[in-house]
Amino acid sequence: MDCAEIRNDLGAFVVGGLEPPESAEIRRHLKFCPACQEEFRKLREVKRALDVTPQPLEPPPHLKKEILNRIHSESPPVRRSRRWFALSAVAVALVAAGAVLWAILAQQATNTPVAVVKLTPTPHYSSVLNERGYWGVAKFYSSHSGNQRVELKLNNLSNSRSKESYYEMWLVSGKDRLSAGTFETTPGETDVWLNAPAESRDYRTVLIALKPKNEKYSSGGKIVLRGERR
Amino acid sequence: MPRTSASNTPTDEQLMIRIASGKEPDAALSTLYDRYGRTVYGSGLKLLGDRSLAEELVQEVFLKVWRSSRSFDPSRGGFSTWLYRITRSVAVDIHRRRGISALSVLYEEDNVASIRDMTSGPQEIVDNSWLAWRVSRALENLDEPYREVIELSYFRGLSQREIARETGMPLGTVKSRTLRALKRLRQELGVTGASREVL
Repeated sequence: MDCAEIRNDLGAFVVGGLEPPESAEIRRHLKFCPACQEEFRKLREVKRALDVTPQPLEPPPHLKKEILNRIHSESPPVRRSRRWFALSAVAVALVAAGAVLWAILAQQATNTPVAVVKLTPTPHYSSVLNERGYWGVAKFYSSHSGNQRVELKLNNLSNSRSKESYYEMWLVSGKDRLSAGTFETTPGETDVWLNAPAESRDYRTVLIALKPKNEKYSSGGKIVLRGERR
Repeated sequence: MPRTSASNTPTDEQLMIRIASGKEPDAALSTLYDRYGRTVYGSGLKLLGDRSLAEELVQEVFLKVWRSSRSFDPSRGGFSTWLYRITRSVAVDIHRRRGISALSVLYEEDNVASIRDMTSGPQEIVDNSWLAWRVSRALENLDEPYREVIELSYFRGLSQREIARETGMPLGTVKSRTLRALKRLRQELGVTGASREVL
């Protein structure tokens, strides 16, 4: 085989797709041909890059549909943006109302919860949680970024640290819902801070859902606690 | 599906602008999913080593793209790089959520892949995960006939003769196409500037 024939087979050689006699012939040629060696070196570098690359696989077909369904259940970005602008306009109006009032509000924003929501067990969980001595609240604080910071104080929600499940906090308004984040509990008192997006300010229903770790993310989980922000 | 700037095909960055501005945002996200779903899923499998977790990662990544569309700034880098960062961050988050406490020392973002591959050093893992992302993107950007021979020969391990039998292509065509596919892959990686340090 001459250089042209060898080079035409080099790609197949690099990925290990030739028959043993063909590979042996290429090896013999490479030993004494610097030009083909250089070509081989370049192709081998591509092969090394492929070595760290995962095999291209199609995600399961249902995934795309689930993602699109989930974004339909959330406010689209543009709507959120309009709400944010609306909230900004209110903020500007408040500032215009007077520096003193603004200072008072700012003080309240950082130190005092703007809402405290009692979280009570849903019917399915009320018996076991009441026996366990559960009580819990969600304290909402406004922050300078516009987001809401939420302190969850949950007592005796779990009596052991679960390796199989975790919790997620949802803020719900009609058919829309926004996640404030996930957390795990500790036996006794659980005190966690979550961050809810600014637009969730109008979402009055608070849900705490229990989600198995091995379950598909699409599930909203089982609603364990519920509260209404007034 | 290749990321392209052909006149009638929006670029990734243009699709992000559509999402952020509310101009047919669902369709824009759907197109981005078609372009990047395989890459994100493959990265999830590599980083998390589990199909169920990889599916969870894909969902979270694209929901983040949706929710964070207004924070995407094309002047600070391309969509692919931004999406890679989101993917890695979500992978770390999933590990944290799973509470694999014995491995907590590895929760530093740069070390997430070492949960699966304890033999690699942190820098090597970072390099490999970024390189894998770029190669995966380069593969997606190859024309279908070239991508096909790479997938059959490299990832499925078929010999050139087996590929010829399976596809009906002449053996000589399979060989020359494999060669051209590798060269185009190298060129694609070189064009992005992403892997010059490797290639």
